[in-house]
Amino acid sequence: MIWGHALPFEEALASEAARRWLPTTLSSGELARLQPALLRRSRFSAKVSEFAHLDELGAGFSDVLAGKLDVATARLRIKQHLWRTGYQAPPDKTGGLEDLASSARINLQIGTNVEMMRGLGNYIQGQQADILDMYPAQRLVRVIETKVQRDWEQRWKDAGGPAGTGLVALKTDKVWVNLSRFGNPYPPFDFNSGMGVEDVSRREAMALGLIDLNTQLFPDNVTGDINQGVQASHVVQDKRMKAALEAARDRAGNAIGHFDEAGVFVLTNPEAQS
Amino acid sequence: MSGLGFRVSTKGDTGLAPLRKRVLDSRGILNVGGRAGRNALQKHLRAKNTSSPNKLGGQRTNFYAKAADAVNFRFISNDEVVLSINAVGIALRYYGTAGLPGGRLTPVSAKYLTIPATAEAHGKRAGEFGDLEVGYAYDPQLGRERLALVRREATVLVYKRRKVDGVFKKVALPGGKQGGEAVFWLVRSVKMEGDETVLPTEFDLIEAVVSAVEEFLGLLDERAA
Repeated sequence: MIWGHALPFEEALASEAARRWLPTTLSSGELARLQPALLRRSRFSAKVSEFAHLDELGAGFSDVLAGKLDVATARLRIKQHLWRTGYQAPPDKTGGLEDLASSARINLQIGTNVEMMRGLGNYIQGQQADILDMYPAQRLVRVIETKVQRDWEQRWKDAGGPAGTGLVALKTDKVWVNLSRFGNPYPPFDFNSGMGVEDVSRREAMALGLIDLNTQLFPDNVTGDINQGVQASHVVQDKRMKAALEAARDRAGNAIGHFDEAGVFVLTNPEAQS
Repeated sequence: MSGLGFRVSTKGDTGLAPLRKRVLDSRGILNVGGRAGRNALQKHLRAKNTSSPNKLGGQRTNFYAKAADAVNFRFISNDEVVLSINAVGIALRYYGTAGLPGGRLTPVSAKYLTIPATAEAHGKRAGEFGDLEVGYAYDPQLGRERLALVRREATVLVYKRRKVDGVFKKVALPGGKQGGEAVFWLVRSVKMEGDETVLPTEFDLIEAVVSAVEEFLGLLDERAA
């Protein structure tokens, strides 16, 4: 066993590569109301529909995820692109989250997207049958100290997490999806939350009364779900959200999806268009 | 690709070799061993993050916590997995510059390296500041002036209420000069000591892998009994 070169985090990179841009005028609050399956397949940035900007963001996410670039350099590249376009934030928004060129916004965008793809990659690895057998549970833990800390114990209770386990639940427990602002069973569970998970072994989970020796958990086929790619569907009731999704175009000018007769938004298969 | 990798094998003189003999296929124990190694690395990096505030006291980049999220493992053969930390800068922190040409880090595409001189500069690129220029500034640590990117001198505007044409209005008035302070030091090259505590010891990592695999095989034995 020796230290040497790192190998790519394939599960995370493959998940990132499978995502498509969702150019949209929707706000982050509205985006959060979309189906997680739709968001998992999409790269998006609240109120951004310009492809050139989205491309810079995407390149930043991918390069940081691949270990080719540090966050500061990726952030500078995005800022320089915006400066070249002559972008100026409204005076009352400068430096804030609504300023496309602010460090706060770009850090949040890169941080959330990279964390999400790494979270998904680790989740996929954790769903391997032997690993799920050995580590069937996980613990919600604070991994970064944040200035404002939400009450995660209360949020755990509200999400239906098992009581008296010290924020430990089986990986298949609905608490993980319920905890997440994004509807995912893996971190990040919210913007800048500072929360993560750590594996809990079967022995410890047995001691907590969460599982017995012989019960086997069924792996979540999230990989297949991602690879299906374009079959996401979502019932959208809100008129504004509906209009924004209908107006969203890919770089060739084609609609990214359509509403079927039941009001379900179905992403269009890009390969079928080309 | 930047980062560090650690090879875990069931072959040769490793802690896993005797355990390998207890199973038909090594993939199961390598899956568990790989995950256990990943967990141990992640835990170590998260603890390192807690114990490593930035020296200038600026906003934290949480470098080690983010590196912890980037830990993963991958099979390279039926008998080996590689634990990887895909994070730019982790290898430099661990090894230092000793292995680089001349034992020093030099700029690749620029003339100088930029070293943060203020808390505000920590975790940022000089290009993100719109008001810097090359100059000299006093470095209290060296006790002399040195080359730096300094804040461009500017007149500070102070807003005060003044009576204009009989009506009180907010008007901008010159409030003195500011600037000249160093934001980044400029250096041709830098020498960095490595930090072995960036990673767990090889012994601790092997111990974590082997004990997890033993526990896993114990579970299988109990079920079979």
